[in-house]
Amino acid sequence: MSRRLDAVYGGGPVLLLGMLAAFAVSGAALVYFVQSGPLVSVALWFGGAIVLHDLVLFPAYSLLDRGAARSLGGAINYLRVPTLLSALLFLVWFPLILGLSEERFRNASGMSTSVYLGRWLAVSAALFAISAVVVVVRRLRAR
Amino acid sequence: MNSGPPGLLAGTVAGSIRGAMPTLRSLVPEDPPAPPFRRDFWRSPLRGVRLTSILGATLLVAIPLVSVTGLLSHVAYNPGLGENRIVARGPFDVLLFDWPTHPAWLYAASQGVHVTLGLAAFPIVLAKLWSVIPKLFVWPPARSVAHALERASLALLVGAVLFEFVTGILNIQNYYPWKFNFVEAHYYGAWVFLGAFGLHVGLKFPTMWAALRKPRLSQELADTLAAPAPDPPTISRRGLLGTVGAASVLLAVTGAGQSIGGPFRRLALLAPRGGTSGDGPNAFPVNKTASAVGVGPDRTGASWRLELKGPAGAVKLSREDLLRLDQHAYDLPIACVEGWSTTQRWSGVRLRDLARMAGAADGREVRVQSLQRAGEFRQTTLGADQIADERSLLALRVNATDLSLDHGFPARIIVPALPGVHCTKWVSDLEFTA
Repeated sequence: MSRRLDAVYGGGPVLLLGMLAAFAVSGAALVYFVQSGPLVSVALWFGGAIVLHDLVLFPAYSLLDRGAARSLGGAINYLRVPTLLSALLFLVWFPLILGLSEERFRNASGMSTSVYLGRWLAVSAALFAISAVVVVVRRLRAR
Repeated sequence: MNSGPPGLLAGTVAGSIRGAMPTLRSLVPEDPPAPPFRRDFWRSPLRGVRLTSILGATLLVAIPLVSVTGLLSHVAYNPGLGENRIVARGPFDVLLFDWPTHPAWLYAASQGVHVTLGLAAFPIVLAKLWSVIPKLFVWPPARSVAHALERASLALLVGAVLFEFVTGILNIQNYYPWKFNFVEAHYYGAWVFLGAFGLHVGLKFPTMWAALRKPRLSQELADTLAAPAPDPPTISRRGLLGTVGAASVLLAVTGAGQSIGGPFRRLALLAPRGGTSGDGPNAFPVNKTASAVGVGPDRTGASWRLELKGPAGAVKLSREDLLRLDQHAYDLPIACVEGWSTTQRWSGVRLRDLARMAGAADGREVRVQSLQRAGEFRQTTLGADQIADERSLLALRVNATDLSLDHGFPARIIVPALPGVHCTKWVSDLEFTA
């Protein structure tokens, strides 16, 4: 019985049960999930997230990183680490940094999003400055 | 092709290219159609089962915490009471329970963890996806029915995890570039994720465990994540993990202060309620300004009356009437679903005293209505435990001064461990049910 299942399905009964349970939970949730708004919008954000990450964001940062690594050689990490951290902060907080939700944010909090661009730039500058200090200290020590 | 040691499930997954597959296999060309589908296209010397296992183990701690605190927030909204429900009733409602009022910081802590840990986990999720991306281009696309189903569940897993993180992160910034209901999509999206996540952990745990416990052994195993012809390294694995860790810490440090408060709030430079909110007893954050919902001095002035209703009938009380009742003061946190919180000293009339006045001494429920005419959360229903708690107040003052208009003048609800949006501001009606 188990061998026949393996032949047709490619796994044992435990795997089959595990998959049934997982798809039961995800499938039931999916039914409600797609009704949370216009189907186009829900599907676009669910599928779009995969496409945007796997086929846009990932290739873009990989190519940029590879290009930079080739032209900079051994010093790449002093640039790579602060760039990555700064880019990540932007990726997370871009609506505040760019003021995309200014009206809603002001209505909710009574405050403005205008401070965030400056704060992000300041944090980024600090990250690059720390990296520069590390380079200088290491170069001096190596002498 | 098997990537893991023979574990509980791992051994059964890959074993079969036999059986039903000849029909499927004849449909796909044997040679990869494009470079990414060839294993030697992937050149990073860092990828491998060890790196993925370290990232996976970290997420195995973080993701359940973020998930559980998220589900707790759903419970904290008391969707079973009155018109509180925002999310369509569904099969997972069996998990609901009465949200407690003890400890008072319960919601602040749980939602602070949900948001701050969620932010800190985001770079780890991205690194984890980077570490396994060659698997997206595996050839042939399916080796068996089980393998095809596993890949379908991975599409749900990756789609849902990105959806949850992206919508959650945009929500805390009040940015809604979509047409669906955020709360409902984020809640049911979480369950889509959890089904696929459970399967993924079940399938991969043995491999991860073996790779973490016996790093040498994992190198001897066929490592399907490792590049067969790697480029020379430009950063060590430790360097990569350190960078990912630094990214997590940076997001946590620039975010956590809005939940922890005190001097840490200044550190929360990029968080929506970080920095400062000025000086004075009413200088702490809000989630809804009076002007945004059309509540002005014309309706909150001397003419304002609280309509108190219950089995004993209806009475109208002015603010002076309420101030003449027994006043009580408590230090209580108010915590927003968006993750920030702040503890202040609130004073006012106990809800249970008002329940007694309304003829509902052991009040079962109270429906609270606001002067706010439109928009969400202009009414809420509180349960018996929340009415009975001595710290539950119709607050009139904060930090020994009158509430400001933005904080709910003339009167607002403050209940321990209750999500901020249910601590209704500008209260106009209280209707108790015995």
